[in-house]
Amino acid sequence: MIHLINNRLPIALTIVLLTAFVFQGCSTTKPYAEGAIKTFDPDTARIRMPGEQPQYLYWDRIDNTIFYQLEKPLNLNRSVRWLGYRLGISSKRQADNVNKLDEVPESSWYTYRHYYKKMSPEELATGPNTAAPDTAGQWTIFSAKLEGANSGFFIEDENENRYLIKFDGYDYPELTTAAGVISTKIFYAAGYTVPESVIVYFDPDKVTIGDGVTVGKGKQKRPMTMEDYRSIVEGRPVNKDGRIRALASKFVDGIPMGPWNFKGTIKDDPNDRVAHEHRRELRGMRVISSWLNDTDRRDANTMAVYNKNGYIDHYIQDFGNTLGANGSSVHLPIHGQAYVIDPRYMFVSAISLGGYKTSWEAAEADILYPSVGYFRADVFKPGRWVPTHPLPPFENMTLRDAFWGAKQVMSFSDEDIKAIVETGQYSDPNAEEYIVQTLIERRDKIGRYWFARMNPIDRFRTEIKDNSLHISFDDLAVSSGLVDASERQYQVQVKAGRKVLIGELHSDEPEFLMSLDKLTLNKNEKSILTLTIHTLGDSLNGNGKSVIVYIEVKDNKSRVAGIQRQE
Amino acid sequence: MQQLRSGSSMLFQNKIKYLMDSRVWFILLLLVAGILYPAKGFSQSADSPEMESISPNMVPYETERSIGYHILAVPSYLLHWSSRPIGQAVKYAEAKFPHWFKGARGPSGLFPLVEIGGEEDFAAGVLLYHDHLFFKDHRARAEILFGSKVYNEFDLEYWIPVKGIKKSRLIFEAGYGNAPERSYYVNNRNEKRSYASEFGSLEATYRQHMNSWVQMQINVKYRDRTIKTSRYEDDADEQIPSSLLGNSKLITAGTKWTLNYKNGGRRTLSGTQYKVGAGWTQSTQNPDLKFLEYHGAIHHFVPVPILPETRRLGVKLQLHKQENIGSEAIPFYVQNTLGGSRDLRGFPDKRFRGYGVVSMTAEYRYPIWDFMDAVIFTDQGQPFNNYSDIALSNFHSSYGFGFHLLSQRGLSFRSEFAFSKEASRFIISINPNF
Repeated sequence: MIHLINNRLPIALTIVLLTAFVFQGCSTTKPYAEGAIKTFDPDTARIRMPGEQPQYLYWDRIDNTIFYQLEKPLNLNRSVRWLGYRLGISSKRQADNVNKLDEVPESSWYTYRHYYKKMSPEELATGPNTAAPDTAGQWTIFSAKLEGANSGFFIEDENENRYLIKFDGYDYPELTTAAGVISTKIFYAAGYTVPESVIVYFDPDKVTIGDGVTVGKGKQKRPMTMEDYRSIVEGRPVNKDGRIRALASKFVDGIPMGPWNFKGTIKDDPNDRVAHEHRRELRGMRVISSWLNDTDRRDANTMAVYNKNGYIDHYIQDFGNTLGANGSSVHLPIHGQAYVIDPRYMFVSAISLGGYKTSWEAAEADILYPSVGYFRADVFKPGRWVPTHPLPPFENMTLRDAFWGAKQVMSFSDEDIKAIVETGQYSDPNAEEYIVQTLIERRDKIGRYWFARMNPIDRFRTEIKDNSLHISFDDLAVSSGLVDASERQYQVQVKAGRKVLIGELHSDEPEFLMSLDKLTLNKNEKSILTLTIHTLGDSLNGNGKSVIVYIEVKDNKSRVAGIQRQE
Repeated sequence: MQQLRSGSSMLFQNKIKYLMDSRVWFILLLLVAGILYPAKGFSQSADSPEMESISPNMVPYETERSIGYHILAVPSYLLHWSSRPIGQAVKYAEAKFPHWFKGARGPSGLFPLVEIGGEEDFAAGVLLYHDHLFFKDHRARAEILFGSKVYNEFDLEYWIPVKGIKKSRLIFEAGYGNAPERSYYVNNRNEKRSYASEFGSLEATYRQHMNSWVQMQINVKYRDRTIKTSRYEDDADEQIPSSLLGNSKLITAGTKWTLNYKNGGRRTLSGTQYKVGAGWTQSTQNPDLKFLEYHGAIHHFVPVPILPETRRLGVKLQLHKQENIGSEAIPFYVQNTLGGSRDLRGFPDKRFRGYGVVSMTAEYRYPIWDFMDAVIFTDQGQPFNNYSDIALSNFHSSYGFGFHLLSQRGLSFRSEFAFSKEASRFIISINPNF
């Protein structure tokens, strides 16, 4: 019997595996959409309210730093794919929620904003905000936490709006509140769902404590007193009118269900079908986070909210560890350059017998302005940036994901950045200027780095006019001012199926015009043209990589049906 | 020719059969499948629904994982699920003992203790502490170590600040231990004999920080120790001579002074520390058993030239000496020793005994991370009874490397691998070497 099993087991397993692969291959592999392009991922069906996810401050960091790192090589899908990638016979695992244009459709996670529909500086400055706390009237505290410099409370204003009130650290006025507001607005403009955040100056004498408010935990729990309140606000930065500066985050609409986590899916949410580590908007977020030095991006700083329409909104929140701020203190030179526990550098340091000196070990944490903290452009390396702890989607980021993130970052002009930074309400104009310049320099570094690795052309448009097929696009390296348009040339090869229709066509402008007669297309029949476009120039040309654009021509109309970016 | 072909064919068939039998093919299949495993293809149906009447915006993306994927992922699943209980423990600790994660310790609590390569090969236990037991700033500490059948020890400490004298402490300590099996090396040769030991002690210490760099203490200690034959049958032929068995009750009065000129935060980067001490010991049972002892140590740190100041060389020189002022020989178990987790680390615990021991340690310490140092060290040492016995040729050597984990206050624990011509050992200890 055992012999029988031994003989049949491999056969059975082979059948199972082959069946799995055969069925897996049934899904379409066409690189273009036959019909409409998917622009929305329907994850907004009404569901029963999921159970609340407990929030842990440390376990996800320990898990991602130790156990997840050990699991990765043990997952043969991953390690063998890695081997295949190294041998040049396999590709990296791409995100699961990208459409045929290599874009993220809108969903409960993501909304098309600044890159897709340019926002005015005023809109960028407003961000997600709909209402600021009423500082003229009385505030009532309905909850509070006493944790030294990180103390804060929740208030309800006279308009019955509720806010979380947070403060700057004692030694760094304006630092954390400004960073929180600026980064919130940038993430909002980049398409993410964030809570409303605004800087307020409030009269400390117009605050009362509501009934039943307690402080402390367990046996230490007791009713909150005005003395507790004064201990929270005492020593905080004030303006010339004696009003205290704070960051007010408006309560979101809906019921908070805890963090949504950067790995896996929420079990109780049937709408949540794409593993978070394979979502494009979370993988590409790494580039946006790198821009802002958003080092504390982790599970605890996310929030799933069951909204009034009966589905989950996915918030990212708590931007107090961005720019030069590290909570109530300042970032350290290591932040953004290595994980808090980084075996890569530890190994090199160990075997070098002390001869290897990390760059952050050498960097002086010069604090030019207390309100700016430690935020630099010169030591910033876009390709090596990491948060303080490994984050699965960030680790999974491919060049395509990175390009997606980079184009979000590059969509912010100098004026856009200035408009957003102004909302940080720095009292020192030099500090504000420093933040603006550093953001501009870091943005440009990101563009230079990623556009040197991926062909930076995007926003393809096509039309048929005067019996010619017109295709145009944006060269993001040019439109963002990194490269002069006069240094650019574009080359295209056009094919229909395997037949080469145009061998090589050059253009000095990001557009091509092709006679339909020359393309020998039947205007009434559907044809798919394959355009392989290269960007020519000395720099930021994606290292010679191509972008393949699939154009559908039918009934004297054309449309972009697919885009493939060479990695 | 035909025969040749049949021969080749059979050879080929044999190879195939071998592959089938050995299941190498199965591993190959898995590897090839893994390499060619499509990057995506699961969620593509959402972009081009099979029915044209369905808008792609109505079909959701999904991360689907095939049976093949799960088979290939089994090893990672096993690790994942076996590590979840640790996750539960961490989550529980987060809720109940949040200060553990903030690098601070609460006013009371407990810590697990693990000691490898210390008094015995392995000991584990718990450390309980309370910073305000009975009165404010009255610190209590209990350390309980179980070294399985060979070693158990309990230590209690109670610290009282002396009213009116700043930076002073009265410390009361009590200890009990038993070791059913210990090793004694006859005449310091590699000839091992066994014995059992049971001991208790009481100690009172007055400690005073004179200023930021001078600390003194005076103490009185009472020790009661019984030396018995080893309890294990295996040791029947290896017992220590019966003349070494018995009980002793000793009282010691002594003083220690520390002059600390070390620089640096949690890492000592440079500077010197001097330690000196002297004591007098008298048996309560035998007036002829009495001796004086004294010791001195120098810990010196110097940065390594060219490299950053965090790369430094540490040197420890120390001397311990007893002078017998009675007619009774000093019992072997109170003699000075070498070997263990703090000197001659590559040798077994208490490998060498003598009225005097002299030792030297040189360590090169360099950071491999913010909170971790790597250490390469060598230890030299020799026991002696008279100074005239000291000779370069009598020094014993050990060497090794290790890692020091640092908290904000300094060393949190160290793990070291030490080697000598007699043994190699792995050490985990919460006590610094120097």
